[in-house]
Amino acid sequence: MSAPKELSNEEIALYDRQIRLWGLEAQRKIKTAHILLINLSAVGTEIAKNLVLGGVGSLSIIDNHDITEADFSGQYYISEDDCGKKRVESAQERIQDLNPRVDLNVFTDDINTKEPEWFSQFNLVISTELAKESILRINNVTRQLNIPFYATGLNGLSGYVFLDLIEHTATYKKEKSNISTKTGKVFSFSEIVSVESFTENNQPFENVTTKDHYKSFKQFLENFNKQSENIKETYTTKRKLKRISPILPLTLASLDFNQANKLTIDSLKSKAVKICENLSIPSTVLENKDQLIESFIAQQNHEFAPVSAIIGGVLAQDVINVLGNKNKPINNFIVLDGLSGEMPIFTI
Amino acid sequence: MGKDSQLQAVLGKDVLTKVRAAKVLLVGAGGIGCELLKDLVLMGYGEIHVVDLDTIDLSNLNRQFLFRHKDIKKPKASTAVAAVETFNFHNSKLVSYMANIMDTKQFPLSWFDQFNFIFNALDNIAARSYVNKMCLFLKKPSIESGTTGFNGQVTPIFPYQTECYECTVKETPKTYPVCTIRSTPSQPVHCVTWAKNYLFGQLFGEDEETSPTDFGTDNQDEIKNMVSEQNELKELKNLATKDDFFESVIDKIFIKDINKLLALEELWKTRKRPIPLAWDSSVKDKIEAITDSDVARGQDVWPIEKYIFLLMRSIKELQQRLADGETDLEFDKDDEVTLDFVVAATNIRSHMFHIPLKSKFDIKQIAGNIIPAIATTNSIISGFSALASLQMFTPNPREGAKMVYTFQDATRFVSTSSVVESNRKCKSCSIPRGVLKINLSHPEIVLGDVVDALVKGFKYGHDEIALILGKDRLIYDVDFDDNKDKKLADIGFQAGEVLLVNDENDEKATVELYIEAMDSGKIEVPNMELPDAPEKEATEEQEDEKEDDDVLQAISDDAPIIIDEEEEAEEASKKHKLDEIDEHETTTSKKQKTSEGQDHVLIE
Repeated sequence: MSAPKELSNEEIALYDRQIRLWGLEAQRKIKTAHILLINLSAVGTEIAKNLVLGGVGSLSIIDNHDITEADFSGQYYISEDDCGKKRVESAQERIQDLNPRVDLNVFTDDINTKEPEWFSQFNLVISTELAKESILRINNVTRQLNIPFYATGLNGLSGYVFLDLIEHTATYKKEKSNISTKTGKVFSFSEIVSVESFTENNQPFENVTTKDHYKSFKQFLENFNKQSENIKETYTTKRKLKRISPILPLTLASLDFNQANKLTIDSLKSKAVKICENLSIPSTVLENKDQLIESFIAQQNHEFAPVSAIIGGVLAQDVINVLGNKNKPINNFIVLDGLSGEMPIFTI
Repeated sequence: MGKDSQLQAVLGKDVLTKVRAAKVLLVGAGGIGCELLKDLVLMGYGEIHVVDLDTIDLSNLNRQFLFRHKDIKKPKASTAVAAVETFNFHNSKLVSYMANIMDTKQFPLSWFDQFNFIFNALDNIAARSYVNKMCLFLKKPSIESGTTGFNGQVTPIFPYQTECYECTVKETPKTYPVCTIRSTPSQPVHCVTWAKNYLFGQLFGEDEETSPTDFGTDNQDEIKNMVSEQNELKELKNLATKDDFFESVIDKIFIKDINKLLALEELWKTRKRPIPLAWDSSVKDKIEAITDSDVARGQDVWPIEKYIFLLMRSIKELQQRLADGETDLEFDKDDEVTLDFVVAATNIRSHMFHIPLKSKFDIKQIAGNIIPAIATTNSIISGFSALASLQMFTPNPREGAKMVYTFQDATRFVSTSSVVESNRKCKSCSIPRGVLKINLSHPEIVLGDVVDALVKGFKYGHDEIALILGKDRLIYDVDFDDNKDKKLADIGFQAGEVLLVNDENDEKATVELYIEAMDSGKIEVPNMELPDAPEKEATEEQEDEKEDDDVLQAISDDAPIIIDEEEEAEEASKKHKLDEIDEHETTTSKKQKTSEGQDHVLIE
């Protein structure tokens, strides 16, 4: 990233309510960001809205899809009169209108034709609704460029976000308890590197700086396809493991499927059961869930506005935190189970 | 494939049909309201009514994404509705009102009854409590939501079954004794309160006086000083038309008053003595050299001379307003001139009392009680509110309804728990409610008729009842029957008022009645069986136990569980802490009596 840019008084007034949350310095860093968003899907629309409102310096959206009737569910910046036209071209003006300060660029070519060099102009990449092969390829490029990468997708009432920040340092503020926070490893993937005490309005606080290590999407796939103990690091009790949402193994299983193969209840279920076995998740998680599995498959590739708003909000929030080096980042997989309202985080 | 093919795949035909037929009310078109309206329209809700009394402001635009710069000053409700029309793919019927939801003329109880359920996306306790009460009268489910900064929560409410908005205690704004504010400040917030609630009001606002019994001090010299200070301020106010008003203010407020305080030795035994403002030619020369561009960067803390310059400039502009015929000026954080005055006066006072100065940006937050608000949290919480609404279309909505609140750790982003049973001690949902229909245009009905109708209708077996009209006006009891022969209009009966009926013999429960006008007949008491009055207060110990039960219930997700993790307890307490969340700021300042009888100035 280049040096943080100064903010005008007008920008400070516009961003007032968020600067009061994350500070001027973070807002300056956000203004310096150049972000690539792949696909203006429903969740892509939510992410674009949140980042443009947040005041990112530049947002590039690449999407080669033409508008079909199925898009009129969560993609609220496309116009009904534009059926058959490119989604991103239809939505461009309305997105720009949200915040004229943001440098907005749109591309209508196929992301799979883009060479690795093309990605080097961005300092953060977000892919939405892509299949495994494309995610693997793009994540490989972001790893080479050493930039943060997010992948997200919706499946009806559920959705996921995968993050590969490679290595990320962030500082968060917390109320100081009787015992000071200690530096050192918290988990194998996360450590506290420094703690700074201070008082504010006669209350003791701490600024805690953490460093997190991430897995690539390739490693992530490998990790749940082999016997692994790593979920147990954060899910420390049997009760916690038992209460894991069935949406986790189902989402992982569907993510790992080849697009060419059609999902069936049996194929999805047997894969999900295998994943549970690999990750030491009790098989009871998937017991008597055939109806759920059936609707999971029926909802495949379907977008639902509230789920899109939640997933897009969580992802954009994390991007903003990462740009400003604020707060504890998510590491590395989050799913929303829209039926139960739960949104667990897993480190795989 | 039709436009609703996605909705059908996700919701199923049955639920989608119900959503398409549903008529809902969305109260609030702000941070959560904009997001929620978008979600509800995209979900294909049949009919959505949106109520908001506010207009659009620049600082809304970072999150209230349905509004543009060109919309500033326009009503929120209609602008939001017009914006979502561009993606009203499923042709939801949309109705907007720029109005106060508490306006009983525009929105009588019967109006609320047309909706299947209600989404609350409000920013203040008063309106939330009011809508909560309407829902209790109608036994109508609602979904309550709120955010502040990164945090937020969603709570479905099923009246008289699950916790209502008032079942949990709300945090009250912090208050400060008058003597701390006026004589012995020690924190920036004390000086802000002084500048905004005291000095500004005394010099430019309505005449307001604090009685010496409310000063919060026993020190007779201090009290005497405060009284004379008050009187002198009145004299000072009369000088506001004079050219040298600014110099008079400096001389009186920042020099003489401080010298008088210094003379009260008692005050400075344990405190550092303030230093009156240095007001000599060297300071005046420095101020002379300052220009408007020197006081433009509000995020920085400046040297004291710049604040004196700012005070001078803002006083001159406020004088001009008075000269132009304005009276009783009010502080408004978005009115740059009044803000400048408060910023300048705050920091000059802080400077004298050895308190760290604050930037204009920070003082605006304290004085305006600004709560941070961001797009993403509103997006997430609205999404959960919209998801929670699907529960309303199941055969037993209360079963499986979940509260959701943000709680991030290594294993989750939000915490969910089943809705909790209503609190038996809740001042709102522990009493039964009904509608009392009265022919208010009937010329002969007197209060005695109402008393008789109630005694008969509710089968009290005696006529010893007390009636309280509105918030707290006693209009009738056994020892006070002066109103018995008065016409209802003369006592203040009107449609939309609430009448509390209390059994003085403590046999039947207290009941609250919503007064509704009818065109014929006389009085119609609701046909309801009043339960027995609750047992007298249980002992302290029993109360404690009951509360523990509530906490357990609040966190048990499905099967009864044992609390074996610290975080769960933390969560439970957080739930209660988070309960009072305001989406954004209110600017009104109030004076409130506390139980100790002290008059506390408070920033709300």
